[in-house]
Amino acid sequence: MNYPNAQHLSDIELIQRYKTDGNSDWIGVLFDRYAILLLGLCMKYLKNEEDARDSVQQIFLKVLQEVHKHDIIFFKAWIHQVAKNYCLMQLRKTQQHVQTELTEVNMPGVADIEDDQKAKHIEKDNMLEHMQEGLAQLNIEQSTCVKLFYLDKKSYQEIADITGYSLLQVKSYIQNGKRNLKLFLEKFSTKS
Amino acid sequence: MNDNFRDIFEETDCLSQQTLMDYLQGKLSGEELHHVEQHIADCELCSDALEGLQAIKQKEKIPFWLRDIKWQLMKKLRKKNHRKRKLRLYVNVLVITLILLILLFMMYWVLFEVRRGH
Repeated sequence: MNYPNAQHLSDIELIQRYKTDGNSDWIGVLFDRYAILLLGLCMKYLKNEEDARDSVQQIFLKVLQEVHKHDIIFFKAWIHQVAKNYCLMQLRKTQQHVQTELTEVNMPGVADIEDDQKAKHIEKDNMLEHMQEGLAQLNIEQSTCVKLFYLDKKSYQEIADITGYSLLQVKSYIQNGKRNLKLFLEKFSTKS
Repeated sequence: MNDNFRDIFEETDCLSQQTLMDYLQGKLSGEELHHVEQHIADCELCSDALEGLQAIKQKEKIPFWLRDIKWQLMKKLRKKNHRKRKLRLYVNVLVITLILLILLFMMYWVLFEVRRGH
């Protein structure tokens, strides 16, 4: 790579530069950032190592076709959506319909980003004051996992060992618990 | 207690290839492990990716696969870029040739008119 500062450029800046000069080195930097994530994502949906490897390259080629048609603001959310749609198409082609995955694929990643943007505007200290009340609102599984993770700094595996839940359940309880907590605290801070 | 929750809504950057590989191979310290899992709780992409990566049998091969995919992708892109440049060059040569031909024709026509006037 002839551009030593390229690693510090944002995803959008790299895309803009590629659009301007067509130099594939900019895409190389993006590849280093996202390829392993796309490989994992494709593996999750396609459940086949070879298909997942092929898909990473195809998704990048698709992204490069699409970047000229769209004004991308949140590259991460966008590439996530492109990759999920690509996997869905592959599954359709091979007639492997997995209902749960289809539901997940339809969930727009952009909404999560918007949620994060909203969260930025919330007074953190004000929210933290009501943490105890928020935790009481969660169900017992979520509250236990959130406390063990954030308060006791336990790893997913340790929480699974303590509680007897599976690793996937622990991950899900933490993610959902955090989301519910955020919703409760946002509501609380809007009221006050 | 609230201080322990201070980082609950903190946003962290997406996980790098090295961090993901270290996580998959169990090489992270307690603090690093917590940092990764804290990010997973927030980031749908990284969370999905880790789930898929954990299902790969020979995890140590992942960096080699990625290097290979990148090499093939870059080769394709350079080829495409080269083709585009070549096409642009042909178009430029064609335009310049046309302009020169028009100029030559105009010069010839002016000379012809001048001679006819004499």
